[in-house]
Amino acid sequence: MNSIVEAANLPLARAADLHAIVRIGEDIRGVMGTARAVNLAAMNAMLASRRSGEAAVGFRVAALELRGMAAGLTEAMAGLSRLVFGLVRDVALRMHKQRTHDYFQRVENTDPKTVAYLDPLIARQEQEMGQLAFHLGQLRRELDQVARHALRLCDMGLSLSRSARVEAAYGGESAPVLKQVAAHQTEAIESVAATLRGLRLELAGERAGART
Amino acid sequence: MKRLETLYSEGRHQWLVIARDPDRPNVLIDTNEYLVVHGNEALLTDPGGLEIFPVVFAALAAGFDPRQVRWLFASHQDPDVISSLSLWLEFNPALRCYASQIWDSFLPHFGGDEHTFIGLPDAGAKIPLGGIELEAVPAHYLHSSGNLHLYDAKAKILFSGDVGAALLPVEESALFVTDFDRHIRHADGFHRRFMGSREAVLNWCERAAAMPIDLLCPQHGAIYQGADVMRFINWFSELEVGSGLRATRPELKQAA
Ligand SMILES: [Fe+2]
Ligand SMILES: [Fe+2]
Repeated sequence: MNSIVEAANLPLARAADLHAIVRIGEDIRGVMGTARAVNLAAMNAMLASRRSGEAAVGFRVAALELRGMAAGLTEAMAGLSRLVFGLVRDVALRMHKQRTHDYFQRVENTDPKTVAYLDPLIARQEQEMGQLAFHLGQLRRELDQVARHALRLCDMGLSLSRSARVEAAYGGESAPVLKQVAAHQTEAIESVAATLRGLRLELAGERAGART
Repeated sequence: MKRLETLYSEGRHQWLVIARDPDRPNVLIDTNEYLVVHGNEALLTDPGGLEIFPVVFAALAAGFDPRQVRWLFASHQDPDVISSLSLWLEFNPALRCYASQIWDSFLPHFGGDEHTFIGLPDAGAKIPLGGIELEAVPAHYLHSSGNLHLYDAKAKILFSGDVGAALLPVEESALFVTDFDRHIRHADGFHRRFMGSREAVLNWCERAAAMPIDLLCPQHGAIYQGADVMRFINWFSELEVGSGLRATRPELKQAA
């Protein structure tokens, strides 16, 4: 019977999938925290630049856009969180269905009567698992799309924080403080981007794992 | 491998047992599942745990149309009794399960929904089966606080759940008790530890003694027949139960 599952190329649900998804969820929580910090730091930078008056107008503009970027990033992360919630639920459901299916596979079915009782049931279970696997594939693709979108936001954020750094030099008295703020922003966005890239890799691995 | 064996057969009325599984994984206690059949309807008692479902189902289906099983009867809420529920429902979503009503919101953790369970009152109830009636008999606190046995007046058979259960070594795993004194040694420790109250024991013994019983069928171990039924009731009525309590209070142990 196992060969039927393999022939139909149904991905087998494994606890490893659930662990991978949980890791992805944790990554997202981490990124959300950083995105909030970027948002807050950008606001503080704007306030600081206001104190420096006209000299820091360029920095202020960059910081304002950074704030917008951080808000977009937070929103994207909230979307990812929702998707991961659905993914965790469906992967767990799939594990449960797989387990139920396994028990019925273990019924000794050399007896033709037993085969007749169980074959339609097992076929139905496999069909349900196939549907669920398809749905999971869609969820994963959506997740990847949102992660890609978030990465684009990060790229934008990085060039913004670089120009904020350049503008900080014209900040008169507050130039050192503004420069430090801009550097901190760059660092934070870089770490977010690294996490998102890792998340996409994890997602690809998890997808590949689900196919084996 | 489990086998389906006939215990009683009279016209359209039958008791079958799915018993003995020497191949079972060692950590699992061996269980007996009884199938009560009348006409085209069947009820399965204490269908067993999740892990033994494949062998129970295979043994049943090899000798009986499993689609005719309309009801499950869970003597109590233990995992070895009813944790396979979700798998039985997977096979037949219309199956209904009798159990003490105090487990109404606990048993759904094993599966089923608001249509699955028929909660039995503490006083017991009649259970219709294919035109006749079986009787759910109260056996609370033996060992579970919501515990019922199943009596069939027509066949004179009492399914007694964990009461009468024995943890038999493989070499003594015959279907029926043949040497009561030898057998009861394997039931002694279990009853002392699992049964909590003398009051509950006496209540049950009085009730059982008043019922004509040819076969006393426990969920574990061998079946008592004929004079061994009354021997068991007498033995149980004198047993010092609740040994777990004494283990926590050495002064009680000395007194006993
Ligand atoms: Fe029990
Ligand atoms: Fe039991």
